[in-house]
Amino acid sequence: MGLIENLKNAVIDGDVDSAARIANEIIDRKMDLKNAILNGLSAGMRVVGKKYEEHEYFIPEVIVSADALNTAFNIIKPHFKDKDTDYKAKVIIGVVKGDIHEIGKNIVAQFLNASGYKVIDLGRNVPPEKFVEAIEKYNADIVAMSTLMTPTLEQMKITIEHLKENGLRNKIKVIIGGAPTDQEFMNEIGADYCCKDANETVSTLDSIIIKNEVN
Amino acid sequence: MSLIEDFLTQFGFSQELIEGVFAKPGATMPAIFLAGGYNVNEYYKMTGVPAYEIVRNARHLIKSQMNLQYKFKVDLLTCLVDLNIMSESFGAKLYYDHDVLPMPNKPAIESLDDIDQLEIPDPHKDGRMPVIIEAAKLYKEKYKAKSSLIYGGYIEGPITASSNILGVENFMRGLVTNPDLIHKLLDKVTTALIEFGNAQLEAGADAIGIAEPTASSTCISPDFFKEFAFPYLKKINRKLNTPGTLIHICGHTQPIIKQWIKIPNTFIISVDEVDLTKTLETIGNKFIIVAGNISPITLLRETPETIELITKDIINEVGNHGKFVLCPGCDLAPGTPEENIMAFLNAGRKYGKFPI
Repeated sequence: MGLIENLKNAVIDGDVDSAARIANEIIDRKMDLKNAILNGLSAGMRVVGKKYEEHEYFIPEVIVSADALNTAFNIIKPHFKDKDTDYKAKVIIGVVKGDIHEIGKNIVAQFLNASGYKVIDLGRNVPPEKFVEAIEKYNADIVAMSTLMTPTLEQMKITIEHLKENGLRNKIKVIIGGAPTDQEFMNEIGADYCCKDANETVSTLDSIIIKNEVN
Repeated sequence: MSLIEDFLTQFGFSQELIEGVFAKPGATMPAIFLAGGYNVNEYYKMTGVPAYEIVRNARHLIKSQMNLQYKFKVDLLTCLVDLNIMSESFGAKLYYDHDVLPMPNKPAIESLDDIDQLEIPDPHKDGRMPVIIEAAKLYKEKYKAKSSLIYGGYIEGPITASSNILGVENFMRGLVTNPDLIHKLLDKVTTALIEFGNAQLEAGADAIGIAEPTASSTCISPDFFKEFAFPYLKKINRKLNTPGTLIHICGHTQPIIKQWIKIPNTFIISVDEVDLTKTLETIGNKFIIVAGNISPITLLRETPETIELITKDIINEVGNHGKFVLCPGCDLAPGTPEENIMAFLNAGRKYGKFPI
């Protein structure tokens, strides 16, 4: 098995030490880093996402896989001569105001990072004004909001209203996620996409890019 | 059956409720709900008392619950608030807001290496445990003799409490990378939970509910449930000075029902995302009551007509099986329309007459 395949497996197994060792070896051997990210890390994380969907993996397993991915990604990143414009798109991500559950959001952010997106993570309990501020500051293409709880669903609607008031709504794609969200709610509040997990988020954003819907 | 009737009477079950539980002809399928977040938010809107004060004051807590009882006439009362009582008592910091329940802000410890720093809190002194105990005492003094209510005290389950003590992400990571230290943490937290539960029983609670959402298959695997949740829930149920507990696990739980019902002294399981027919089948002849399972999201967002239909479907699915009470899958969401809650309860009263 090649190193890239080993890197992919280290991510799938959540083996942080192997992921670090292989990432360093890839750099020492001056291998193609873009290939390592896409076919090693990103491909590994896609398998993890699939295993999660199929109830073979649960949150603990996904977290240690994301740890392995992050460790390797942080080793590779400084060597990856990438310009800002090489990113597929800029994504602002955060858990809406009133909610602090951020594991899902963190995993989505890591998936997006490894799939070639520039991710600006605003953390948890993010008020609508902070989303607006970050979108303007980073000139973002996509805003991704999440919540685990039902009471805080309302905050997604409020945030979208803030985007409208600030003239940003038509310049940006709005993507929502988290356990209580669904297509019906997405339509109700006027978001563009609702994704059920990290894999779906990446494929949805990739499809927007292909369709050139992002400004 | 009279043995079981005696058993239920110990918890304050009325004759009417017992007949409902056993699906006796002429009785009605019982309906209850769990209200923590909803209840605090309603009481705040009604009185202007901010949530951060309600959750720290036993008198407000009881009044807010009696307010619901007055409005909806359900047989169960609980001082349920948020699921950070134990973690806060161990030293975690929370965000307190004016209209919603407190939320975790900073865990009690940042790393599993700091477990030895954790001291088992005193239920009569630390965090908001004294408030919850006081609520049980107030209930006993003021309301117990006058009503047919069941007053349920509550504790968090060991996984839920421990994950808030260590931070959920670190806890989840630790399950894979450091199981020995996680067991050490769970053991310590279990001791504290038993003391807290017993203090509530001593103060006047009729029964204890255990809220363990973080052990659901939405979060951890059935294997991890067996290894990390089961032994500690078993210990809690054995050491609490009560013949049985209600265990609530929301989220996806079908794969763990078999293991869940093996926890000794479990007499009600409050379920969320499960197939009721399969669940009742798994339980078989065991005396365990199932409480379920209309989604709180449905109650928050659908119309009363839809809610009536969904509740009717649940009633028809369970039919005359018995050992079943209607209950939302989880805590009612703040802002759930009153007419929706009424639609749920009324559907039970309208379609739940035995025989169905």
